[in-house]
Amino acid sequence: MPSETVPGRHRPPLVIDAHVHIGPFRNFHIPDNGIEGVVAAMDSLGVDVSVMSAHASISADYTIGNDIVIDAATRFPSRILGYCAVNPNYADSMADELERCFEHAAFRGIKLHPELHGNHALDSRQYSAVWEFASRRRLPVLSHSFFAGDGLDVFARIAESYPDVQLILGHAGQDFGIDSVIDLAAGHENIWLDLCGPLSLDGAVEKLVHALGPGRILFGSDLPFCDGALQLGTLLYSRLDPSQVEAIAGKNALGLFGEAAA
Amino acid sequence: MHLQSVAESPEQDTDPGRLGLVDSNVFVGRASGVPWARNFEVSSRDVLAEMSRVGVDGAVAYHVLAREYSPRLGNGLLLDEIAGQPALAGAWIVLPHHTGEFPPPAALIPEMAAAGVVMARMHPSTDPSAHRYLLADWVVGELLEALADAGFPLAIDFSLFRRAEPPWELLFQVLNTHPLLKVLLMDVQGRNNRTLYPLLERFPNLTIQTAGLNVHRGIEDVVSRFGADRLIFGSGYPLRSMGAARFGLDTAEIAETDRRLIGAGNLTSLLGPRAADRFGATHA
Repeated sequence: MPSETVPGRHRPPLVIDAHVHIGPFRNFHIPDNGIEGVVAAMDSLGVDVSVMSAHASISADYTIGNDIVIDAATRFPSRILGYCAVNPNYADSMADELERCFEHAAFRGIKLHPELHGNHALDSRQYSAVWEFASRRRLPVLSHSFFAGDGLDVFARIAESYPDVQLILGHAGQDFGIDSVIDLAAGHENIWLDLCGPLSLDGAVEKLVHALGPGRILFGSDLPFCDGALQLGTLLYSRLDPSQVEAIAGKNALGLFGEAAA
Repeated sequence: MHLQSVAESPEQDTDPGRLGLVDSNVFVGRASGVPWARNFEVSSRDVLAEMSRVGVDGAVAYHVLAREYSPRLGNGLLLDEIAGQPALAGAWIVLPHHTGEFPPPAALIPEMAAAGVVMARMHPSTDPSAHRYLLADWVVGELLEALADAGFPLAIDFSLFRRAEPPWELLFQVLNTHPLLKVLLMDVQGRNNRTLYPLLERFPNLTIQTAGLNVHRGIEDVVSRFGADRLIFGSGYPLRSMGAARFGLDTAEIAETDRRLIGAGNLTSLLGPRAADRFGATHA
């Protein structure tokens, strides 16, 4: 077979990565994890804009992490947007930290990581300040999901209780099964699916689009936590039509995070 | 919000088919399946069609029935499936012989050679769905030595959960005890550099499949520290995306000579004379 075969690769006009981090992490080595390494990866992959939270804020000190994001967005204002990350173990400080973050124009959403922050239920009072703040400002909230954490019923309750919050289901709820995730998203217009994780399986994005349409699906890579190329490459070589890829790669995020800045 | 597309990356302006690519890690057959994946019965024609769509020249394939049901039965089906397809070479999944499920190494090796397969694969314990034997010398040492003597590379896939670690001490012993055995680690995952790197430093016979190294700028980091000859292109298709594996290699910031080595040259060197007439000549 000649290697001159034309690849079946999509080339969407805009790529926004809705799930990005920055910085080192305690339990494994991440090469080039600073802002230079993140932007270098964005350049090589063709990612225009990343919406990021810092590893420091999802694992250790959220104020240090949010400051890292502010610094990254200040240095690369056309490339970096931020999620303000808060920690329910410091519930009394949440509102103040959210106010502090959103004084900076780069912040367009809130990031929650229950697995690394004590696994408080997302609908417990520990998180009340988040939902009230996000609802008041009509912000997107990206929450990590994982096998030992809140089930999809909790995400459903939050979406129903706070209809003005755009709730992004981290990793598309990969540990809860695709059928349940499709049912959840189909029944809640304010639930979005972040593809990072399940996108690494060939065919996952096609299944989601077939069931739900492309409208509330976001490309996310989890870069530099893992290899963004393997995530984006699966989307770019998917068997979707170009308009579907265009929506998932950037257009949906442009609407979501652009609206959050209005 | 003012978001504009960045300039097309240089990679997008170059000939997309310039690389010779040989995928070290694909399977044929009907897997039991996972809910998020595509799940279909994969024939050699399906693999060839995907290779054509993505721009991959050749592949080393195993039969998923050999992994999920019976290595002996699956290995036999593999030969039927890839017969007459020069772009596809076969990998047999092997077991230790002590239970009688597999012939002893002295008989297995000639059988592999006669069948024309180019690589052995093992799926030892670490996961309940794996083949449940220990990768210890008192279990597999005889087989490993026979593979090394015969020049068959060994792909090891520990069937790891996404956050798991390979059994490093066992892997160390394999590499240390069998320095001539060419080991291709299929699925090292993304959180293991702190133990992987000292192994790469110490053992030149250890190579890593690209798509199994789920590390941010991992290709660049491994190439800069250890050289391009330690990485071998592979995808995990059809469970994983062949296109994503290509995208990862295409976009890595490395020298073109290194990209060609990783894309095909290292694998053909690893496979040796048995693969001389495989995959066409574009990767040579």
